[in-house]
Amino acid sequence: MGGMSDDTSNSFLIYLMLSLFTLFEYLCFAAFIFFNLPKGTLRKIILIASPVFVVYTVFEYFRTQDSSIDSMTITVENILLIIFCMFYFFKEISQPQSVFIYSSYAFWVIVSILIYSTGTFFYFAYSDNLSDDDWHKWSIINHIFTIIKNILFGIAVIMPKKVNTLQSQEKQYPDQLFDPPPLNPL
Amino acid sequence: MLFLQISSTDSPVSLVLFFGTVGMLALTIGLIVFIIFHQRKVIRYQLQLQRMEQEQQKMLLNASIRLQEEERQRIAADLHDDAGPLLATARLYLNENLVNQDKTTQLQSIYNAKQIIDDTIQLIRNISHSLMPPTLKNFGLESAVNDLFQKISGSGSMNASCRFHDYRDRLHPDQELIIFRVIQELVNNILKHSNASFIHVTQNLGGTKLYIRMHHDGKGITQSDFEKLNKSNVGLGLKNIQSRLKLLQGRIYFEKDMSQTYYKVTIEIPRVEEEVVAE
Repeated sequence: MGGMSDDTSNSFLIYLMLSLFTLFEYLCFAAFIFFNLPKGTLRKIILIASPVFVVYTVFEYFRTQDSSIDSMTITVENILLIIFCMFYFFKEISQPQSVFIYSSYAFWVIVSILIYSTGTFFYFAYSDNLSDDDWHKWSIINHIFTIIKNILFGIAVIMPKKVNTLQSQEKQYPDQLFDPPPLNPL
Repeated sequence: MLFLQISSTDSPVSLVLFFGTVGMLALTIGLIVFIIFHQRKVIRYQLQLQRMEQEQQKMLLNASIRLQEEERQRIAADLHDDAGPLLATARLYLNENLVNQDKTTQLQSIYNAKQIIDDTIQLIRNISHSLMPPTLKNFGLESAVNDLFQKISGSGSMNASCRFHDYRDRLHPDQELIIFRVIQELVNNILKHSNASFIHVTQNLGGTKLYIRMHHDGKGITQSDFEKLNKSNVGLGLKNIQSRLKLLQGRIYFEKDMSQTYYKVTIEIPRVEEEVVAE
């Protein structure tokens, strides 16, 4: 009896941790996309959607406490993140900032979020319908996309922070065209 | 490995899961590739636009520098060819006084020198007026344009008239000067190229904009001709008009009247308060 109670409290704790992780993951990714968007409607949409998502997560947590994974919350999170990634790409197309989009670290972070969210979308959406065996069998999808996500994050980390913008490209003059400054101007 | 898993199971959920994931991944990669190429295309287009704009700016700048140089050369020629010989002649007459002691001859040469100096003063005044018309400075754009048109009409070659409908508050002197130069340049072009028998200028206000319209019955140009000339290496005066109007954030539009009997040139200038311009 005592063992069963321990198991139950453990699964509650795991479920709580999973829900908190989903929430934390969403907030981090949404914040990253938010700060990479210009001020305007798109930002407002993220600002409005985020509290709604937080409330939904809490609601889902209390509704499905007996589940093993917060499938619906993750699915909603994935949908929101995919939409937010589209916002970023829309902004990049309409107001391009860098000469090559892939020379910016933000692009790689967004791509990793997008690939992970789309890749694991069906896995998490159908997790409630999968048997335990199938769940473990298909968890390879999650592992593969987690690895891809981390590789893309790695690429983002090694990207230079200052990108070659349209303006900076115009103002670049080769130093050899000009005399060097005097060593002792005074 | 994934394919082996899907082939070994009959569950429809597994099928949806496998194909759904593969489909989503393919869509995502396709989208990313599309965005990369599309963004490149957009950037290339923007750079091309920037380059064209820079070329246009360069041409306008060249035109304005060339025009300035031409103006300087004209002033230099006026001073060298007209004022120089006149002053040299006056000097000769005055020198004559030192040599010749005869009173009558001395008076005659002083009188001649005075006449020449008067002519020189008039000549220098004319040069100065062509640089900055005093009527414009003292009485404003309306009077300056009237004055210019009276001179043109006075020459008998063309009938020039103007009417300012709503010009109670004068514009800032800098703005007036620029507009006057644009009108001068347009009139000059009409006199030189159009073979017109009349020019008529009207001014009016519309909201926060000031409009000036010029009509003439000669051979004129339309907006497409103007844009073509602006992009080519000829049409220095037109480029100068464009660069002057750019300073005022104004616009110019050339068109032929519906009746096909005369041409119209409309200038649109946003009205700016004097204090704002002064700042």
